Amino acid sequence: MKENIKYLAKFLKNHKLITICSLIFAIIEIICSTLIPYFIGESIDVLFDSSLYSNSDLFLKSILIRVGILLGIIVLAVVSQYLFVLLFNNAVNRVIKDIRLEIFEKINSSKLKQIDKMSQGDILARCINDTDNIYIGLINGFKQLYEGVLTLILLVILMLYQSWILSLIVVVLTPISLFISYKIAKGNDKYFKKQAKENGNISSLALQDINNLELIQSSNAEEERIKVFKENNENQRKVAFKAMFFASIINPTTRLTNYIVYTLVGTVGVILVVKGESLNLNSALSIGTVIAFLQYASKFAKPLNEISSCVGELQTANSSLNRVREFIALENEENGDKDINNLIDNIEINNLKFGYNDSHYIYENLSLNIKKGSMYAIIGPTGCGKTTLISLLLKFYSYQDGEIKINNEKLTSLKNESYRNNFGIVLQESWIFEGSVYDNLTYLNKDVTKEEVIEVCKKCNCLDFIEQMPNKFDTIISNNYGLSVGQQQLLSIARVMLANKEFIILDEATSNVDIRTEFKIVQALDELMKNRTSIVIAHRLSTIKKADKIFVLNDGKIVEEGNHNELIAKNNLYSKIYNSQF
Amino acid sequence: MEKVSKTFKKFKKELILGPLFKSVEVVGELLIPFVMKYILNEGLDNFKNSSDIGYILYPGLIILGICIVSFFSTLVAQYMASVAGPGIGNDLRNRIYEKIMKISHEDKNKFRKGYLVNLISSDSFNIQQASAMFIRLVFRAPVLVIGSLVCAFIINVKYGLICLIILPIAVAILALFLVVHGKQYIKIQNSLDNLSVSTSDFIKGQRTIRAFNKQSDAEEKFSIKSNDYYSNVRRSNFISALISPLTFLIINVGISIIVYFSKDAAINNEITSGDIAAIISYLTQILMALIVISDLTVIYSKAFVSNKRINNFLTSEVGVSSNGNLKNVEINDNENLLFFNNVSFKFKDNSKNTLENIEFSIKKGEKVGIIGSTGSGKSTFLKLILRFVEPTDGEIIYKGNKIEDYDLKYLRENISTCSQNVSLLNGSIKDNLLLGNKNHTEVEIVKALKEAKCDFVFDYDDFIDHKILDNGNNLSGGQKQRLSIARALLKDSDLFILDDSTSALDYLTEKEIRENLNKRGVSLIYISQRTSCLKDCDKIYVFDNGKIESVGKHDELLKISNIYKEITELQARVE
Repeated sequence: MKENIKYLAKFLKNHKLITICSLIFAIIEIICSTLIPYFIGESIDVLFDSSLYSNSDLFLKSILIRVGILLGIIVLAVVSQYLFVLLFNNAVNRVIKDIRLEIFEKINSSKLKQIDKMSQGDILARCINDTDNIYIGLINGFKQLYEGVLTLILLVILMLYQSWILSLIVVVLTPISLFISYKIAKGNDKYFKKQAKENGNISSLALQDINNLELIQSSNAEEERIKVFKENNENQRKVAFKAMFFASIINPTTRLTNYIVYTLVGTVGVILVVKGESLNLNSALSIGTVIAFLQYASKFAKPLNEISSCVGELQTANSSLNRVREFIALENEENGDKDINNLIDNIEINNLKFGYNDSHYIYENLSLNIKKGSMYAIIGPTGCGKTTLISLLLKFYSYQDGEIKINNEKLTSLKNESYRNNFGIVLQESWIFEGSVYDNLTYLNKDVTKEEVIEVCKKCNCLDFIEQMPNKFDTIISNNYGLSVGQQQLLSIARVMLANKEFIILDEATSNVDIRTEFKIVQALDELMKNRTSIVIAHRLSTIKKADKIFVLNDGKIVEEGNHNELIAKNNLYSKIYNSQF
Repeated sequence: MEKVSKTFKKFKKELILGPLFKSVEVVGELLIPFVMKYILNEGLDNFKNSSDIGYILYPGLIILGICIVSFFSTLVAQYMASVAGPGIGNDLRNRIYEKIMKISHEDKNKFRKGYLVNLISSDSFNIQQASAMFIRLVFRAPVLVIGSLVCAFIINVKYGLICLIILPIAVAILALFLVVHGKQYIKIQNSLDNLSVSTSDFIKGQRTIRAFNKQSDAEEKFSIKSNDYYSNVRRSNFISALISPLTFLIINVGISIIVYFSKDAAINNEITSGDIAAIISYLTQILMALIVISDLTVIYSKAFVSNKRINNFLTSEVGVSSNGNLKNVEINDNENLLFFNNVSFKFKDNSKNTLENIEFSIKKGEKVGIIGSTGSGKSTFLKLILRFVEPTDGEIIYKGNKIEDYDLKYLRENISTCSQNVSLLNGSIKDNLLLGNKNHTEVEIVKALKEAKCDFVFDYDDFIDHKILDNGNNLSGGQKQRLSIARALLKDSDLFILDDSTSALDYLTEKEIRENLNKRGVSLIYISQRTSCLKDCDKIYVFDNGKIESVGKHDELLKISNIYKEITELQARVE
């Protein structure tokens, strides 16, 4: 909690002026709005002061003065309340924007290993939903807390100034409602949490089953799934009933206590108006004061109820802040300080040891050598860690033991940015972001002419389908635009070709596209690798056959290496894999 | 074909009695200021004159009595609301879900996935909320407004008129706020959606972004969306920050006006301070109730839309039209297992047939291949066999009888399919393997897993109790494909259809699985993109543009089918 406040304060500091202004307006607003019942009470006393009736001018003047003051205070209260809300929302909004940016920067800079462990939905939730919870918590929670506490203090002073007996009734009895509603809310908290969970359950169950409807129907599992759904749905109903019922008794309970206070203030007030002087307790009252007190009572109850109702929002904000800070605390990826300006001549991997955790190693003792100018293929059975090698080469992960050397420099000592700059990379899953086709293509290299883009698209077999899109190169595409997997792959190959890097790293996709498209992809890849150094995680035999050197990866190490003919001659694992297709 | 209202009828008791109990509270709240007025006026005077405290005490006790009665009747109403609200939501979701389980492929296309999910995850909740609010507030708020107004008139016609003038002003301001805020809310929601989409794009593209050092570029793009959202929220704050100061203004200016206009009446002894106190109470109540009504407007406008959407779904005809009762039919070897007699199929909104004049047959024990590029109609062919769609022309004969004469459950049990994109349900591996049929022993499961080369399952400490998360995202594509084959093997069907279902496996594994399938000696339909997988089939159908281009064995097709030849040649160059 303390850490969270510190964290928020760090951001609020950047918007000091606007925050302080808003808090000052809040003080003005609260003073004015607290004084309003006082002046109403005074006006009523003047109104019914029969001693003034004889002089109608004086009476009219007194009334006008009182009403005038009242209107002045009302306007001041309204204006400053508006400014307070406006400025405060604005300040919080800015803070949230800053926090979002910090989270986003973290997404880009933290160790990929940590990011991979989290689901994408979780990261997105931290960046969007949790920050939103913090926004709501600050706006509703903090604002009401601040306003509420100030109002309470002022009211107590004002009430004590007017009548200590009535003050006692209000101050002692009203918090009972707070206490009861707090107890109810606290007990109900677990139902609310459960309810949110159950709601999520039935939504994701429905989504899953709708996605898999054909599977369910072809397995004759409809009744089975209906039963599962009904069970979950019934659990939701039970919890929702409790959550709703307990939450809905808070208001009536508060109203009951408030009316009791209201009645007591009214009756005791009237008694004091009549008998106050004779009781001699410094307790004489005017009827206007009693009417003012009737309003104080409801004014006093309001912040108490609001504070209790915003406890939930504050709690949510607090746990969201925890989640945000937890994410911000992720370690950044390791970075060296050496620039590698000249091109990469050779990559040397010696006795590499790596595992995602320390109990299971993917590589025990991996060694291989890569020199500029050739084409390398890495093959091996499913799950042998081919793709992991690329992550290590690109410094996405750090390895446990052994070493990778680039031009005889340790990989760890190199600056990520200048090192990665040497590579053109095509990954298995094509990445299309929401934007125009042209922006997607020139994402890696803005300094290309339209002619070059068209030329490359032609080479990569994507010009045809781009020309068929409604706005051609200006068509806005995204992951959900409806491009086929093959088309997405062709676009990402063109993108890398436009980046024009010396060193190509390629993770061939296994996804099943139809043979004509696959042929187009192979052509595009050939074009891309022409006259460049390339490392390919290969699945297609045509790629493998063309490679100058093939590394066969199995059980965490290179078991065979050589070109196609050499390896076939060895008649070992490679030839077994190769021959299995016939 | 029954509407949402059928569900409401189940909760008739709560929906009628609830508001009645709630009205008791309203009456109480209207009476209290009256009694208080009595205390401040007559009570005060009588007490002054007679020193009998009873003039004040008894009315005080009456107020307390009213409070307690309305408190308990409110509790009853709230209880009924909590029974009816979640109960109605629950019943609606069950009805929707049962119907979803029946819909056919065409229905699913018609309704769209997002629509169906939202019926359950949001529309039914909107109605649930609205039903509870119906009991709790729909009567309370308007009655409170009208009642307070009437009371104000009873106390003094002039005050009643002042309230009557303030009322429409307040309504107008709230209505304006609702409209403007509603519009801005949509804008804000859209820009938040944009921000989410772009953020999730960048999370997905992390590897690409890092590999190409595009972090700062990504941050720039993110900031643009983030700023867009920020300025939308900021703009809407100008309006939304007005609501509470404005209501505050209306109440207090109203009170000031009342005080000012009371000056003559006060001199003439026409009104008392108690009257003014009561009027202040009523005025406040009117305003508070109006705010509640404006909140309700939002809830109800959502609920009406949801009600329409759910009705639209619940009242439409879905599912395959006929269901026969043929079961357990056996045929001899070399008889036709499945036979397509001149079958055509057209999707409802398409102008062109997706499949045209399909003549297809597979004998018991045969292995038949199907090849064709995307869009050639292969997957629709598969849907016809499982009766996810019905032919528009021609007939399909299974084991000598029309396919629609069979009991749907028997048919789907008797034909096993594995597809390229495997879907798994969250739960354990075992749950998935036994989906739709719980009666298999562990021995049978192990056998199926072995035949499908699911070696990885044996590596798990928890074996088949291993959890499948995120619809199988914790497994690789190849692992999912092998599990799906194991699932199909467990069904022990007469016909197996493998729809590119080994595409993510390496050649070695794929070969072994095929050998295991062949050993079983069942009838098989292989759908594939690679001619190499189909070489040893008894016959191969080449699909092209919804028609069968040619049929034959591998060697024959190389001679007679241009498409088959082209595919084989391209394959050779690719592989």
